[in-house]
Amino acid sequence: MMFWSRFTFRHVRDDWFQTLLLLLILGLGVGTFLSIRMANRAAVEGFRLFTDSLKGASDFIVESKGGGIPVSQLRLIRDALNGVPAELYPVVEVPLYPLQEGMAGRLGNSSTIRLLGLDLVQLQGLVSSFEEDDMTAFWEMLDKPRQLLISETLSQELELPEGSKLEVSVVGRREVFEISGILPAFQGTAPLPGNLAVMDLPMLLDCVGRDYVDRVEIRVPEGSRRMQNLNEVAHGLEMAFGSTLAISSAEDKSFEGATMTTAFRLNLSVLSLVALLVGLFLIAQTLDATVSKRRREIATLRSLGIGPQEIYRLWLSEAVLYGLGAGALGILVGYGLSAFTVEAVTTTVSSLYKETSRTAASIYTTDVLLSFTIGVVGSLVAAYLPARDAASTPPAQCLRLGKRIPPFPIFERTGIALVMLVAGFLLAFAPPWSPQLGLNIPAAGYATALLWLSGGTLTAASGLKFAGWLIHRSGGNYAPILLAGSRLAQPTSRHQLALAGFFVAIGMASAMTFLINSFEQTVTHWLQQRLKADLFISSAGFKGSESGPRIAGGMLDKIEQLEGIRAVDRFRSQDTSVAGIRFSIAGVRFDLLGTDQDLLWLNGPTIPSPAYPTYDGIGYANENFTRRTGLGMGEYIQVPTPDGEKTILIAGIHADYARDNGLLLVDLPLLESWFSFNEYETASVFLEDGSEVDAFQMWLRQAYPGLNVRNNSELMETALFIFHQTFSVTRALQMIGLTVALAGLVLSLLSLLRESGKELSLQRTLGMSRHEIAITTAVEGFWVAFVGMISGLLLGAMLGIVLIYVINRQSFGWTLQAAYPWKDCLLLGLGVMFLGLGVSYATGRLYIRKWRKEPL
Amino acid sequence: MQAHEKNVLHVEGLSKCYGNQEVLRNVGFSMNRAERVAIVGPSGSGKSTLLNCLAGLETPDAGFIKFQGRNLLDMEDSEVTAMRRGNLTSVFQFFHLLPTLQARENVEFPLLLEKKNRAYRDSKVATVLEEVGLTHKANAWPSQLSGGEMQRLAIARALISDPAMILADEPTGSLDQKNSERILELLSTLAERHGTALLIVTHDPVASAGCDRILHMLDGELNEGPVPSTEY
Repeated sequence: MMFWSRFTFRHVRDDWFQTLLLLLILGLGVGTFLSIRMANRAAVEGFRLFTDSLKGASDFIVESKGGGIPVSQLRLIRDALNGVPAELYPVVEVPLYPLQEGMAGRLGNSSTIRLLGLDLVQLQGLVSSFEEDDMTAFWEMLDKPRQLLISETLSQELELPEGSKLEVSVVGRREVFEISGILPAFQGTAPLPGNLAVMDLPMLLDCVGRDYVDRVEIRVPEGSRRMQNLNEVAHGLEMAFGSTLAISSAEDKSFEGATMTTAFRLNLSVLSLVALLVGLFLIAQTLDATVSKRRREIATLRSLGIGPQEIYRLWLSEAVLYGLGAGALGILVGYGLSAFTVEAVTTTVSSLYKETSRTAASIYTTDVLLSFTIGVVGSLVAAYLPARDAASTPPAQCLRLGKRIPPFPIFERTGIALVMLVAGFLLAFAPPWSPQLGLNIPAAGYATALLWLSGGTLTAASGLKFAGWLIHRSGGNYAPILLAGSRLAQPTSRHQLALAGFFVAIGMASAMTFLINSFEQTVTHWLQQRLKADLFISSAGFKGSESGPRIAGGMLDKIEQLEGIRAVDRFRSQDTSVAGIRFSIAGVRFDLLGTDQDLLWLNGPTIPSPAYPTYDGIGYANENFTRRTGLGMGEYIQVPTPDGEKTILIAGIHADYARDNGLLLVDLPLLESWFSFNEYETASVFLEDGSEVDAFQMWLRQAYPGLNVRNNSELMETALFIFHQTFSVTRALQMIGLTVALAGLVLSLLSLLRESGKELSLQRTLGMSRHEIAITTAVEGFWVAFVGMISGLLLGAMLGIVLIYVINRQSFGWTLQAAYPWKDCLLLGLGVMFLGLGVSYATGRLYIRKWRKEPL
Repeated sequence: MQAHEKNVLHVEGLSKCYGNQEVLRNVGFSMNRAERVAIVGPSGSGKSTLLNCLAGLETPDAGFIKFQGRNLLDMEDSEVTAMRRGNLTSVFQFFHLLPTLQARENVEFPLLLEKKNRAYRDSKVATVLEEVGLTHKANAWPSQLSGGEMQRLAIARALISDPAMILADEPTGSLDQKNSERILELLSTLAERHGTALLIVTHDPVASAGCDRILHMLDGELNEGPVPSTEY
């Protein structure tokens, strides 16, 4: 122990700055991964039913297979339970968007309040817990319209005390509600979501003009007959409503949300590992530097009888020390970053998949354990090569200036690198892994990326030697360049590992830029094709998901009647499933397609012969629908609707970048007749020729303050804003990766300078100025950054192709047109080069200023 | 030739302490052009510290060092650096060649620092390599050379800028007797031929045999005169 503490701790203490920098970098890597994990979990937890917090989890959730459950049907559901003592909770869920200035901003990016309509008489216990003895006030509240109970978090965030007023948009209408009470925290149930409001069910139905509820939750009380009762309820419901209603459990609903977002969350988690991966190269590099610096000490220990295994363990134990430190720092960094990642991830999930509640990030024991495990295991993997190198030091080794230790043998094995690159190429053609229906994991695509990263790292190492050889040959007139070139031509493992860090960070960053740029170009083209209306209407606070705020149909009817309006197309989607595969069925006016509206066709559309009307309607599927269902052009699908099962012929396949689940478009009047909708997600307005768009837009805004009315360019701008917001986490992860790589360069150069103490003394004795030594360092650092940049950009282009054509297509099912971001990559390259040069010069200059001569 | 033109180095009252330990005590001596002086003393007597002070790599606590008429301690760092490039070069016990440069590049390196043109460098490198007998090893790497060859290369590097003075710190400390004799002879001959003053610091009285003067250093004090052989 004493031997260990003296040998390891002394080094950590002496090089405290380097140790601290390394721990910060590693902590950032672990913390980034942890914060993404916390954000992913928060997003999934947000799918939990809001009612769970108020009354505990339900045993059954009964929903309509299309539209809602009519209020008149509630009694039939009760009857179907055959007298089993179960509690029924009809629920209406409506998003509210605050209209008072600045209020939505205070709610964060999700910006909507989730309003639950519940039977408060049934939930008296809930209310009486804060009303205590004053039940009169409670009954008075039920008599008054537009009375809200809100969570304490919401009350604090929006500064809404009891008795205050809240102006909101609900189904596109402006409404004013009064806050009649604050919901207390309930023990034993899930914590209340931050954006929760509750209202008496009949009042809410009246307010939004509905005669149906969104779902009925059923809870079977505890007791000795509970299992039997549960079975009876399940049987009764299945018998009575098996064909018309969907019956599931609360866990199923949460699981459904988690499954829907698996690919998105997995891709984000993989990307969050970049900083950690770069950090691991730095651990390897730091430990390698300590081997190099203490080579004589190791040889002495070996000659004193310390065995290679003990030396090996000594280095691994140092790695464990770094891993533990990184784990501890990672928890702090992860918690700090989670404020941003939770907001960004839940916003993306809300706009791309399904509205999720705002849940605060929380750290569990498993996170703490995971943080330490990642730190320690990663450090041990990174320490393997340096530890092996240290253990192989012969007892008699005595180094003098003039002898240079070659890099790890693995960096010389270009054959292995080639095998990895070829194997990665072949794996790119493998199909995805499908662990469950409708879920595809691009496992082979990830393997390709990993093999190319590993193989590329080894190939880039040869590139550095070649670059060094070139500089050495051509830089014969200027001493610092000649010296730097000669050092790069015979690089140490520290050079190679610093290069590897750069290579990985730039490769991943440029690949992501490639993907995002291709995505942006494709989406812009798609939007130009799709957005042809003069004005676009949505409810205030609408973000894109079908569970977001809607517009009342009556309101659109009125708008359609206005003079100067030629046509209004409405969009409404409905979540459904066939044979366990979930997708959305949506309606748009087919009569406007090809003239006013258009789709970006990938196949079709065909006009089916009217002579064979063996179907109820034709549908246009997005490519994700065909990927999930396996159905293509000319095939049929039978979709459950409240009007019975309908057969739809797939007559065209179109591109759709607004969602990554399947979408089947049918003619709107047909869908309305099947589902009896009276609320819509968006509407496109076409004006008569010669109408003034701006004036019309202004008028609509004033007449309907609860609606968002945008013109073509504003909608394009909003769509692209949401697009960029979706990639905000990705961009942040890119920046973290690059920052870690630059910090790694500083660390590498410091290591090289530290181990070159005698060589620096010699250079000074030979007459090299401090400036010239700093230039030598700068040239070395610049070329490490430059080779890392060039090889990283090459890797980025290759990985980008895999991301676009393999990982993206298998995960999300989107066809993207590859568009290489020349400008962005050029800027990235130049930025990295100049930063690399500047950082390297500054490192050399600052180090040499503090440097003390070592005896020669 | 005037006395001040003949004089290359004049050291007076030089003292240096590391904490409480006095390493140099009122050291003083002078050297003339082409003169060969040996400072002999046991390990830890302060020889290397003195050499570092003379090379401008360490600053003494008291005294002055006049090199070619200028006080080293009054010079800027850049001036001392420039002086080390061309006028005051060094040869070390462990040769200290730059491991990533070939033999000819190691020799050429000081001229590169002095920004001499290629033609001058090529001709000068060829001359000194020939003088030390290493023309055939011009393209070898330091790791491919023997100890004696490495020291000859280090001597060539020290001589290439025609310095006024060479500081040699235990130049034969890592060599066998035969190689030591050859190196001392080579150093002596070349210094004389180039008109360079040679200051050899050694703990080996044999290494000082061919010098014009021998100074004796013990516990930081420098005395002129014969060295008692029993001291080491």
